[in-house]
Amino acid sequence: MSRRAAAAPLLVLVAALAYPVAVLSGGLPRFPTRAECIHPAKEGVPLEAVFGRFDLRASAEARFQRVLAAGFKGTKIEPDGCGRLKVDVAGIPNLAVGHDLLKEAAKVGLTATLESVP
Amino acid sequence: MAAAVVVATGFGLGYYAQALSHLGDTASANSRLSYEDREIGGGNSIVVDQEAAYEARGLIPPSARYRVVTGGRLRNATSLTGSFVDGWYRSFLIPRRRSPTASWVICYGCDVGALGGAYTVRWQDDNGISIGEVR
Amino acid sequence: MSWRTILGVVALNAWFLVVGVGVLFALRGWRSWGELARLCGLAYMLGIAATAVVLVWALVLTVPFSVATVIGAGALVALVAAFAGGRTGRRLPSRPRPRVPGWSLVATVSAALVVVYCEAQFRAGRLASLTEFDGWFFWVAKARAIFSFGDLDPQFFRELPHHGYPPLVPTLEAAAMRFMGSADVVTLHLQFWFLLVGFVAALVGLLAPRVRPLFLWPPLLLVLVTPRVSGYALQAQADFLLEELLAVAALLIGLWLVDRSDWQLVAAGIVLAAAMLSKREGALFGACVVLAGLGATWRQRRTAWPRLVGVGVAAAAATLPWWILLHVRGLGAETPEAGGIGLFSHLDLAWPSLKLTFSTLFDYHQWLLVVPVAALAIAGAFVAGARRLPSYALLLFVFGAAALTYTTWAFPSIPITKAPVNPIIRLTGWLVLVTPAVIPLVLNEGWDAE
Repeated sequence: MSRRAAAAPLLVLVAALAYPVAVLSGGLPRFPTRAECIHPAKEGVPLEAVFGRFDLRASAEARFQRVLAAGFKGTKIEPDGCGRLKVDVAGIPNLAVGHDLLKEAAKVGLTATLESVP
Repeated sequence: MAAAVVVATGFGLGYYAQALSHLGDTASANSRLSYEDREIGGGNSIVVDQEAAYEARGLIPPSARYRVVTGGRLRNATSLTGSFVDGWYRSFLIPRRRSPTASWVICYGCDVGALGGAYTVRWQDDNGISIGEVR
Repeated sequence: MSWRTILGVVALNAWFLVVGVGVLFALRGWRSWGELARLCGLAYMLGIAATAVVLVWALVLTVPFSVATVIGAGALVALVAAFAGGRTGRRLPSRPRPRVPGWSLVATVSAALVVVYCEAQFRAGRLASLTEFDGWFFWVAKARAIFSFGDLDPQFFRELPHHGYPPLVPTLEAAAMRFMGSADVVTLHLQFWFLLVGFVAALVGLLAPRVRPLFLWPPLLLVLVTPRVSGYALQAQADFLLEELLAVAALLIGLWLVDRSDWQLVAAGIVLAAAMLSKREGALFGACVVLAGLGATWRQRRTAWPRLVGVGVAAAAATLPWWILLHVRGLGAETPEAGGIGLFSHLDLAWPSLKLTFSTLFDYHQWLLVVPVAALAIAGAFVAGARRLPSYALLLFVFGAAALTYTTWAFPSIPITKAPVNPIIRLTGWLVLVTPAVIPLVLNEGWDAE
């Protein structure tokens, strides 16, 4: 294989690699999932405890009733921004209170996650 | 023939950067869309309230039948809502089937008194959209 | 939108390529592995066309639609092709020897530009939402129905708009959904990216060894950068797929006019069958391709015409199961409102329809100067003394323009306008995509004649 003959496909290969490299230099590609509506909890922003996300309202309502029956006042069902319904308790002032709430939930067999309110 | 080649080369190269820039802009705009904006797509100019679409999918069981009923009590409708909301739900809610006598109703400002039975609202918003069952 | 769904689309299209390689083996074989690499684009187009046609037949016969059906349909095509190839004594070449063909500077730079363009298209299409009206209104809705119910559900296919449109595109989209594992209408756009890349690769693979790089690449680049192609080629509807298939068929028939190799006609027949099952206009525009071939072989009509007519008839016959199903279900074929003699009741629409066709074909904001370039090339080739291919190309454009005029004239209820309510802009794309397929041959023949 002559050097000149090999240079042409190499040049095409370089161009083929240069474009994605240039694009990636501005940041990695996004692969949007429904998880993009889950905002990790951090101090200094309003927080909420999320007792689950559901595609069907019937499932969300069942969880809602269970959470309410466990004594978590202010529980509500609302859209999570990614096409699902979340059962949550909002108005948590800081991480410490939030973690206490999660412990309370665990005592009655409920699992919840602490999230920042978007 | 030479003219054809020259014109094709000139305009092909001349517009190449523009095409690439356009494609880059499109990619950026698509990347910025929210999950729901991207999933609702063309429905964003029709459904008035994205939540209505997701509530319909969450409330109406996949094996159930439904009907979309439109009326004059809808607020913030676009020029496309009245004509195409039914067609958009038909695609979005597959495998749910449409039926003119279905008990599940997606009401877009409809006259609930004319639905043919007692209408139990399961979800509603401020635009006059509601989803419920007729018994 | 995830890696998994993207990989699903990649796997499906890799399968189409494998099937197409089998078809190519049956049709012509390859002398070297380098030749096979060059013809991969054609193989892909043949694979997708043949598999999709068989899948439509399977749906008509109520075979449940699943990943297994897609693999089975492809395997059936590949097995029949391998058997046919074996019967005709085709053999695989000996082990590959690394050899890179000499590329000119024009070819190298152009190939680099086209590759980067395709990457940019991929990036733009990967997260595109389904905003195209016809896409969500019925093309993708039909695909979702096939994906969800595993068949041509009688209720959905009766109620969805345009029930008479042939179902190859929804079938293909449903196959992509099956391989993705969900009705991901966002990643679905990548299926159309593969079609665009396959189309470009088919053209380059077929034309590169026969025409000068300066005749091949500039028309291709010009078409790719038109606002219409760069902005709409990945839309999840039937127009671009139809046009890509028609352009490949037109090229194969153009090559047959030069070579008279029967495999080119069989390949054209397969691709035309898929085009005719993609959209109603597929039959009309496909007939234009065949008629242009007939016109260009007037002097050899005794030997050429039976073959060309055979291609058209065979392609049309492939659509019969669909029309029979429509008939059995009591659904109309959605024929033109004023087709046949109805045209004479609307003679007043003839001239405005023709004007609309020409103003759209020459619309700089849609297609830049693609059609003027084609016209210049054809005229130049005639002046240089070439006859066969310029005649074919000229007839393609004349019949094509007449067919486009008919699509407006035969639907009096559709306003004569370039607004989206009239599909004329989308439809004119077929002659635009034919340009990089046929015009390089015309230029080359003209140059040789000079």
